[in-house]
Amino acid sequence: MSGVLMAAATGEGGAELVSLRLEVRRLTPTATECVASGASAGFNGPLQILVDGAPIPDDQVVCEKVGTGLSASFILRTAGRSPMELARAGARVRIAGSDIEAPFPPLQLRLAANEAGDCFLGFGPAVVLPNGYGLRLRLTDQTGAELAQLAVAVRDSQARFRLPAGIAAGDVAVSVQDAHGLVLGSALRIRRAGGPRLSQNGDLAGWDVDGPNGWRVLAAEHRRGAYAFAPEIRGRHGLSGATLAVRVEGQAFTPVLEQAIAAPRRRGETEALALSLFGRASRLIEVELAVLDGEEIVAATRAVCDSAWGLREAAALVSAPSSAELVFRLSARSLSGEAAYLELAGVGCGGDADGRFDERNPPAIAPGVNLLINGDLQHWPNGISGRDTRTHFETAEGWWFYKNDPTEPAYFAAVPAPDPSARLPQWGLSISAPVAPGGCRLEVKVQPVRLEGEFQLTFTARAGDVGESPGDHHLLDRQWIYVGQITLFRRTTRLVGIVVQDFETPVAVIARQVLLSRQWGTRTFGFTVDPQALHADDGDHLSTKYYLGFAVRESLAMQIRGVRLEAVDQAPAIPPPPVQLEDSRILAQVGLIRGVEAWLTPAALKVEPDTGRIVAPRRTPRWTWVEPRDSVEVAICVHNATEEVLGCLDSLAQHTTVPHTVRIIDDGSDEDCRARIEAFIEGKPWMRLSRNVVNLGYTASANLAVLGSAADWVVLLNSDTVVSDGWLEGLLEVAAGDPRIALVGPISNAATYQSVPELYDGAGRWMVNALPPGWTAQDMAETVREVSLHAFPDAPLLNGFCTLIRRKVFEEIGGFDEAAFPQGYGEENDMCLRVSKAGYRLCVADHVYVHHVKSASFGADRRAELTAAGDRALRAMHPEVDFRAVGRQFLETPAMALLREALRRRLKAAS
Amino acid sequence: MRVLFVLPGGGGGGGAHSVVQEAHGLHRLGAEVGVATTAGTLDGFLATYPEMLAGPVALHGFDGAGDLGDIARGYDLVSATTWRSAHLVAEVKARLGAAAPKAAYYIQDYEPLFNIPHTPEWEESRASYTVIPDAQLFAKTRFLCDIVTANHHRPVAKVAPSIDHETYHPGRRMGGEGAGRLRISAMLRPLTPRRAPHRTARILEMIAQAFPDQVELVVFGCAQADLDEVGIRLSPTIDNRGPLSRAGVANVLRQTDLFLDLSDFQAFGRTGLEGMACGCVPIVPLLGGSDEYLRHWINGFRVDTRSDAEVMAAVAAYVGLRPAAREGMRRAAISTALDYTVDKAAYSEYVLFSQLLA
Repeated sequence: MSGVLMAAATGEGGAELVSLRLEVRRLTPTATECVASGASAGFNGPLQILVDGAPIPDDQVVCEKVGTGLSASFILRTAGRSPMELARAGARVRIAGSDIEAPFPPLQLRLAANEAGDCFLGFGPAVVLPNGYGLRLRLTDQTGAELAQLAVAVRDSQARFRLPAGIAAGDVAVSVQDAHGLVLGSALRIRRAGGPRLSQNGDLAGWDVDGPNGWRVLAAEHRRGAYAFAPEIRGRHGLSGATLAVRVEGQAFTPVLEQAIAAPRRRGETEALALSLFGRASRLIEVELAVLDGEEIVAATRAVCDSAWGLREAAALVSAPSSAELVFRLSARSLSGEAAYLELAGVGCGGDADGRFDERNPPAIAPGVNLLINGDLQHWPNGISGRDTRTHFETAEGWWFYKNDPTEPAYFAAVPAPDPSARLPQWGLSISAPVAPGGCRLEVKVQPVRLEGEFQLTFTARAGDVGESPGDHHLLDRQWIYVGQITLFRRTTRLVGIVVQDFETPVAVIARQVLLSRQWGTRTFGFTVDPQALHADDGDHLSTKYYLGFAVRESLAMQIRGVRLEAVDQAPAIPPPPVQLEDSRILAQVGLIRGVEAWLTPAALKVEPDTGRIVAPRRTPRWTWVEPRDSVEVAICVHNATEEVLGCLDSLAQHTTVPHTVRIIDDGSDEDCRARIEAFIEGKPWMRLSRNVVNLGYTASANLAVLGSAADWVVLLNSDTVVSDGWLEGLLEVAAGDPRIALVGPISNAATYQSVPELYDGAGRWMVNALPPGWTAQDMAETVREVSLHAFPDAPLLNGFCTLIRRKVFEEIGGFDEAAFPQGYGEENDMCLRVSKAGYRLCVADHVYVHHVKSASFGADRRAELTAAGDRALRAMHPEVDFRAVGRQFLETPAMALLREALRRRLKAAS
Repeated sequence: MRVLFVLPGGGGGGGAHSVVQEAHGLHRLGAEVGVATTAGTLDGFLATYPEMLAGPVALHGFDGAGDLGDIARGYDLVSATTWRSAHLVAEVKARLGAAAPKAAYYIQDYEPLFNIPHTPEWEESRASYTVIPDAQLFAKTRFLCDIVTANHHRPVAKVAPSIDHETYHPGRRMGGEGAGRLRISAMLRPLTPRRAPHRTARILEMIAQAFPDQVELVVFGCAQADLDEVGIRLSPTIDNRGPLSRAGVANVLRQTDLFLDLSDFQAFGRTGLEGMACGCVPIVPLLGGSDEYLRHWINGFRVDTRSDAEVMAAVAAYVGLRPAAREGMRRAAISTALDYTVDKAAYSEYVLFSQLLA
């Protein structure tokens, strides 16, 4: 445990506050070995196994303690369930009565085939299978059809087999089962490899008296050790935990370790080799990994090791080895010239003969693992508080502080987090420093893993330090802290001439301008690490480390805890900063008073610089069906009058909450109108524009719109209307009442018999009712809905400004009569009468108000002319209809009469 | 034309300033003008407006509606200026009956927004716009006209706003210690929630930390005790000048480059315009009536003050401007403010009152 520096502190009341860690170290077919490190001598567990979060009952688990001391080992046996099965099921081990858990390690099945056709099945380092352990392999082809079944036995941790004749390694998928039929792995591909891994015992697991098996230790002094790597790190890099420490002296490269390896397969050809080590050094040590053919170096790479564990690896080209046996040699030199120790946990040569070195890296690290070293702040090797004037120093393990000023001290302290429910103390870091030119930065070291993909950073922090550290820094105590930037950055050490220098490169900016107040607050940020940002380095760097940085420009006094950097499947969306009023009295009135509706928009409003107008953020339409119903299309025939058309489309987009499509038929409008409509509907895929090359007239366009639609219901809507909340639901509600209802029309301000509150003006003409001063169409719609009887009365005719049409019926009667009513004005009455004569019902949605700006397409004179022509045609076609009686029927329909009266009263009261 | 403004209370607010100034302006146009204030606050009123003592505008102290009725008899038009005074004027109208002068209501702000909904104050402030029968409502911003019309269905006439150019004018800018750094000032009203004191303090802190070398910060308008009461602690780098007289405010504004009014909304935003008159570029709330005088990015910034990010973006934009561009905005601001004279405002009222009394 040379590397783990744990601070054991004694809390109030003498309770022992030692950091306790649990790890599942080995899996055999019958037992699970767990190690609880940091446990007190009397610690007896017990341990539980959890499957899907639920513990396996105690009577089915035998927990036996087999070792004592700071690392207590336990053997767990489960009746009827093998540890391999539990690992497959994602089980976890937990110390009973606590929240300390560890996952079962993955089985990590590997299948490889060599050039000679021998195939090998291996497992991850945690899986220990006895020789002779039987496995059943099921080979299938790409379609899943079974090709063959094989029975194999494990020998020396791997099972060797040959594929039946006629089956190529690249064509099969393999499923592996144990003797009891438990599937240990499925759909595994056999990796083609140029040969077995060239070096042996790379994880240094096997030892004899001279050193690690298979290796010749050339260093003058070496030592066997062990390190408790996090399970994720062990699994990822195939480490056993055994380490070899060698003493390195002098500034010239000295061989420290070597092993004879077989030559790669394609003799005489250039080939990529993977050379790697996983290690660290007490001082900066440069390591050379070389492959020698006799005394000639045929492939080599160099890397620098420092005090942090890390993987150093590179692909090196080996060209034309002449002999069948090569030597893989590791040499090292001390960059400082002083004696230093190099500690290795893994060293290897080989890998994929195709040179695809990256494939040796497992995919991104599992979500949920904190990628920060000592992210939970449990390790304080430098003491739990301190004062430091250095520009760069370590506080808790892995938590560095950088300030640009060596004269003024900075203070740090461990602070227990105020969470009495946690059994283990949760620690935070308090840090304060005076303002320094260039600011200061808190840096948290990231685990040596491949950082690529989506990540999430969470931390809990507040402004102000603990105020208990020595010194006069209470002056630094702050109400707010403004963290200018949170970044993930890389610190690369390079040899420049004879000087080792650090270089920093930002990898990802996680957040900017994060304001911390005196209140503890938890923040979460998502970010993506672009692989390009990771691999931008050239090859001459000595070492690379990644840090999370919190940069502050002013003086600093903050506390931080619970910092987690995790890989996630998808980076969480960063919530937009709050947009809110401060005065609750105003807040409470939005909705009560008119004219301040925009004051509650969740997004900030902006001013259009040219016009000074406030640009309201567009409301994203939200569509819902209360229950699935028929399809609906809104059809709008357009002929110029751009402003009205855009107003109509805008109201549709804002107020329609039923799933629908909008079809706009441009009947020969000018270019400007068309371009503005096109601009409006951009990004609204449910709105489509089609164009008549020449002006066909309203009737033909409307026929095109309705008959050309595939929807069950079509709303034929005039382009000079404004709809309000709930309009389409209201129309459909009426239609749902009876399958014989074919046409439904709403109430309006200007829609002949559907007008409210007045039908006629003083001169006996159809009334165009103006909205009361200060009222919007929405206000009127709400009032109509409120005073309406919701009677949905039948009507002999419906005004054509807005009609919900059952398309099948429209087809049945042949649509509008284009010949008799080419320009509109009468075509809807004719259609209504024909629908009525065909036995269908026409109803008024007396609770829906659609505002009608009124005949924007033609001027008043032209309109009168068209109306008269339409009337003549209508009377000629339906001579049996008494239109006066029709008018009386409308006037006398009680629901309509009461509605008009109620509205008159309401509007009078409001004025 | 004899006009009486009913202005209860000790004065001192932005609305009261404009009423007193415009009363003098109306007098200069030939009207006979009086201001009636509550007798109990007469001394305070005189302390704030010493020009009212034996000035051309008559000052009346009144004690209740009866008193006010007696005073109003001598005038052709009596104008309320606050929701409480609107109820008083309504009472006077009722008492005097046919003998009552014509009534008007000079709306200074939409006052229901100051009160907690459904409290008696809220109900009464809402009723104030309709309580005087046949009163002519008028206001100085389109926002006020619209919001009153939308909520109370009464037409509201628009008059011109004004500020006091005697007090608020550009002057010599001091060089010295802070030279080369931009000065940003803000009014902090800890006890007025709609003026968003917490937001203002927070933004000032953010500016202090984001631009430590480029700016110096000044706040005014708040006593330390008030700050303590609402739990606002300012960094020592922020210079708190405390409560200031109007002349003191003008002095601060004259030495200011960027003035922050981070209220939730402003029906008009008088201090922003006064700041412009003193030669600073203001950041004012977009909500409300600031569009009356402020042209975004030309003579100031209209931002959605509900969003810290928007405010900080405007501050950063201003700090990042070239000096010539900052000077351009400052000149545009001064030029705009010069349009809002007392005489112009008084004349717009004079025209309105003439039509009313015709």
